[in-house]
Amino acid sequence: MVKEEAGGLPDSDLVRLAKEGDREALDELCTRHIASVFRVCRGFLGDDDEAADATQECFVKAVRALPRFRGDASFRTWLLTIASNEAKGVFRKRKRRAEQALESAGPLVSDEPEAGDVTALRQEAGQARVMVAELPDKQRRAVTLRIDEGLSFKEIGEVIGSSEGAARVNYHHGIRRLREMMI
Amino acid sequence: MNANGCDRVKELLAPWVREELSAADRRFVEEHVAGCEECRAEASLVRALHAGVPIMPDDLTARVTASIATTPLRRRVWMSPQLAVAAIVVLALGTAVLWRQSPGEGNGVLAEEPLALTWPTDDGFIAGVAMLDDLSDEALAELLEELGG
Repeated sequence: MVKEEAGGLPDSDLVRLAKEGDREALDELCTRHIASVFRVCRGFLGDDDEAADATQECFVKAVRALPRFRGDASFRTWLLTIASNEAKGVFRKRKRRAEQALESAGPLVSDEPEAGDVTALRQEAGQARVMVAELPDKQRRAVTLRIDEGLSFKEIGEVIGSSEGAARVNYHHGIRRLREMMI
Repeated sequence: MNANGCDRVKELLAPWVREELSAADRRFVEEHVAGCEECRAEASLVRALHAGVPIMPDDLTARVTASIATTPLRRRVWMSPQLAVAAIVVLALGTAVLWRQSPGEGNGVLAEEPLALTWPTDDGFIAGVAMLDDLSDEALAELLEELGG
């Protein structure tokens, strides 16, 4: 039903169709947002496998909760909130089990912004990503949501459960702390 | 550079590395960064963070779509208003009758009162409504039949 025009439909229409049982609309929503969900989980957990599992669980929970989604926030913000909470839950379980935390950074994107010493940038990027994992919860989420997903501070506040101002402060504190750690 | 300029630039660094700024804002950031050591250091960090954005495994989309394909899409079931009212009346009457017939000591005083004085009709809460919300019309019809019998 959705197939021919799915690419152009806004999330709100896809959500309405999915609520009516349209599986193609659901798949389109998944395809559209899965990379963001993965990045949020990966940014929080610092581990590809755990992030993939959390991504899968996030979508299962989102499908189950979809009938209760009222559209007060955008679907993307709502989904990233579920992802953020799921990653947080996994992180807490890991912490409780006292397993080894946070390993090396994942693979890097190939399109570097400017000419220069690409190797040095990759090393710096890897180091920065490892350091992000050391930030307190809300600072870590604010930094990754801002840089990886381009969310506004208002949207970040919705995802991490704080005000816009607190989200802004968490982001700047996180960046400041990273700079201190990188020295 | 003044502090306000730095504050503004630091707000814009993330959209700058994501190439989401207008030409005017981009020029503003780049000119400021060129002359401000503090902001240049922060820009370098934000650029490094952006360069390290994780890449999703290739097979994850297929894995997740397969997973949600087996997750039931639960649709909210609403009963018709007439059926809801009928169910509430039947439940209220049934409960009141059982209450009056009960030999327990605790019910003695209430059982002697007229029904209109003992049933809380105006407090906005009637027992059973939450449960009834989840029933389909068919299930509710069965329940009414049972209560009627």
